[in-house]
Amino acid sequence: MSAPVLEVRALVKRFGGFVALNGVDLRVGAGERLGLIGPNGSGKTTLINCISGALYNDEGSIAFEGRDITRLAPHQRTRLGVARSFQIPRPFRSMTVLENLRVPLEYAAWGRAEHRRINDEAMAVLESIGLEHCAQQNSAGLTQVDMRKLELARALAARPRLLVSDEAMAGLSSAEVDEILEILLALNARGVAVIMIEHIMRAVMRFSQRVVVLDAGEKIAEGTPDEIVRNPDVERAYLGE
Amino acid sequence: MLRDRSDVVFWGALGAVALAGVAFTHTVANEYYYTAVYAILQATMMAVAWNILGGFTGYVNFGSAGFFAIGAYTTVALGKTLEGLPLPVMIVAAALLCGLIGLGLGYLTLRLKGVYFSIATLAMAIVFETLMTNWAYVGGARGAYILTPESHLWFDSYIEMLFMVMLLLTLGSIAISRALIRSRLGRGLAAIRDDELAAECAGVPTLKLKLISATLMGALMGVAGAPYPYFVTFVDPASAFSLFVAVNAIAMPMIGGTAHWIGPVIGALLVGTAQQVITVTVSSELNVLFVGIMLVLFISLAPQGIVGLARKYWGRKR
Amino acid sequence: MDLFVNAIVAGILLGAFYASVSVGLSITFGQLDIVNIAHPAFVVVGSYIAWILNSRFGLDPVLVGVLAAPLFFVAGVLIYRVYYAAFERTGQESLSGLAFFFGVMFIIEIVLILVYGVDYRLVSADYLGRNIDLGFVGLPLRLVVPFVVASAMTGAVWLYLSRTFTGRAILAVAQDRLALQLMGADPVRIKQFAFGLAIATTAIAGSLLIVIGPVEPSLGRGYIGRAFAIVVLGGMGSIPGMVIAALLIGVLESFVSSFAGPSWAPAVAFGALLLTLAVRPSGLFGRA
Repeated sequence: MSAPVLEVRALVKRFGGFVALNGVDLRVGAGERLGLIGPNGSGKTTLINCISGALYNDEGSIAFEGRDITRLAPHQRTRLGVARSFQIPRPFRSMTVLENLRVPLEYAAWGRAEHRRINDEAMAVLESIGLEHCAQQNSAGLTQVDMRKLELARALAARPRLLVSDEAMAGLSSAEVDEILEILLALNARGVAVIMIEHIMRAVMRFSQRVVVLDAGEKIAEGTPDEIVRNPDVERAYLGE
Repeated sequence: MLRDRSDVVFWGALGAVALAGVAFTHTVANEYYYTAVYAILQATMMAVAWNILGGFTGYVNFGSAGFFAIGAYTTVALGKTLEGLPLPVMIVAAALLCGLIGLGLGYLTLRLKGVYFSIATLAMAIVFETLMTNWAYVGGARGAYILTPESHLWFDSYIEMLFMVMLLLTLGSIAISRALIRSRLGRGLAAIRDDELAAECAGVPTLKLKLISATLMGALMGVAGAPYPYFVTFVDPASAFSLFVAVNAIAMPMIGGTAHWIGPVIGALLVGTAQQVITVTVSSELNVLFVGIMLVLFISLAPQGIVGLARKYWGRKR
Repeated sequence: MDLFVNAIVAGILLGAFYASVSVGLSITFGQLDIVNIAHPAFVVVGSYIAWILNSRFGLDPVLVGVLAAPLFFVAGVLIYRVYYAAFERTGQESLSGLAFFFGVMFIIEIVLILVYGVDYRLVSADYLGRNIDLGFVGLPLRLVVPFVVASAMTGAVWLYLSRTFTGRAILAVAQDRLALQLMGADPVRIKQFAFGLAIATTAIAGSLLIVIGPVEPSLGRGYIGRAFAIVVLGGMGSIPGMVIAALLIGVLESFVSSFAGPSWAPAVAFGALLLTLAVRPSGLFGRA
């Protein structure tokens, strides 16, 4: 098995007296599709906040492509190749859709562009996502699904080798869920590892090669989608005793 | 520098204004006009500088008077130490010192929420005012008198030369501001202003950019203050650190519109001119009330300023 | 030695007064996250009202403060409604709110100057100018009376916040809007009430201010640093912490004033604020 692109060891994160993450281990292989599920409040978003650097963990370590990133600032991690999308989209509201993409292209992916002109590069990303028709539109006025796509587009524009997608499909229609799914699958086909956090089970099942289940800050199960579905601990976590 | 048509228009306009300034010095003799325009130019420069950290980056500086006054006191202190130092040297010294203060203050507080930074700027201004009040070398609370230098080059009077200096400095600061907002750095600042966490996660080194922004703002404000002692010939902490300077520095960009480089210019020209008119026709105290009320009204009703209103009126998508 | 003891005592007496100035800010900034930089300006307005009624009708200034408090409460509620409509409802960043209160502070100061001029104003009451002599130290009543009233008011506010339903709702509203709504309390009305309460305290604090010494319109500015320094140093959510910070700042200022000169006093609080922000922004007792 090739070297893992992400290696999280014994991660602990506390908020005052509350332990959000209690010694979580996570491993993501290069180009792997990992599903991360768990009931609300289980610590999924806290985990990816720690991975992306928005929060600093109290104990444990995080390594990306063999390099320790535990104490690096978020922007440094993004430049190394870890990108995330936010659960509630956070567009740069004073900018158009195209201008939104310029930011990660000019910063996270600086020097790694394929096209000579940044705008062309941004348009290419938009086309891969299906947002090219609203390139000049102000990002604050987008529809829900387009906002989610913009969130993903911004993460893609950072040219990551690991993308964490935080509930990008929440509240979308079935057709819209499929659209997002296609985008993520296409991205993965280009060699990008993806961690997908979702509550929509059919998406998780269809997408993931491997699934990790968190509950109350701990990893309670790990395995293929089929194994997870049949796991009684997982059922208990979601449905209670 | 001349990348597209808007660049041509911009530099053409700047050149035209500079030439108009020269024409002004040849045609107008009444000193009052020079003092009035100088005041407006100074306010414009302060507004433009403030907007770099305020409008472009989203961090509100309440202590603008602090930077301005330190620039002024740099001139006073240097002028006392080394007689006959030319004005450009003072300006450079003020830029360096105030830039450093901006950097230091930023380093102390820009890692915290924006609100704390704003309060800290107020604190900084008061601390420096207290220091200057207690520093006898520059006159302390009683203030210092500045002698007008004899040389005024080819101009008819010293105030005319000072006016021209201020005009060029102001035009320069506007050019810097415009170049900044159109650059990669400026786009990074805008991302910070819109959503700092998202910017950080998009690869923007937010702390570094904020520090650059604060340093630039500090330096420009210091430069705006450097010629001030020669303008007023008497400098004391109360007038140099005046709250009026601080409020103007905030009100003018907010009234004009903070998101665009031309916003503070518009705001300063309109409000500054109104203030000159009010001073002459009614009283100078009323000025202060005028600015305060305008600020509160615009913030509450038209937070995007005049530029924002214009954009909405012309129905553009952005 | 005498100077030393006097400095400490004066510091404690003043510190209690500073707490009464800061308790309102502790509510608006510490609990509601509203950066009311105009808070000290309201205190000055309170002083002027005490002066007007004292010089016109001979009423005791503290009494005026207490009577004026309900009016200030209403004013606070109104101001919050404007603030809410303009900023909180639209989700505007607190930066515009900051500038809003900055403008309000400015307007208050200028109107006071325009109407009453820049002269210092005083009140007269028969306890001013008298001292309590405790042998080794003399306690001027103009400091003792504010000490007593300030302590009473701060204590009353603290009890209210920690014991009554509305009070606890105020403490909760910053932390968990949703839970509050589920409990049947309207967050907006709670915040409105809290803001009104905060401004009401400025009426009393203002009357104490003018008992301590003469007042002029720009006096509020010196208190911006003190009030914010005290709230931040004490820890944003904590009123007992705020009281301790107030006493600390009071004593520190007193020492600096006695041994280095009163012209250095303004820098103490602001310097303490900068230091706190640089070293431990959560304050001494704040929630991290």
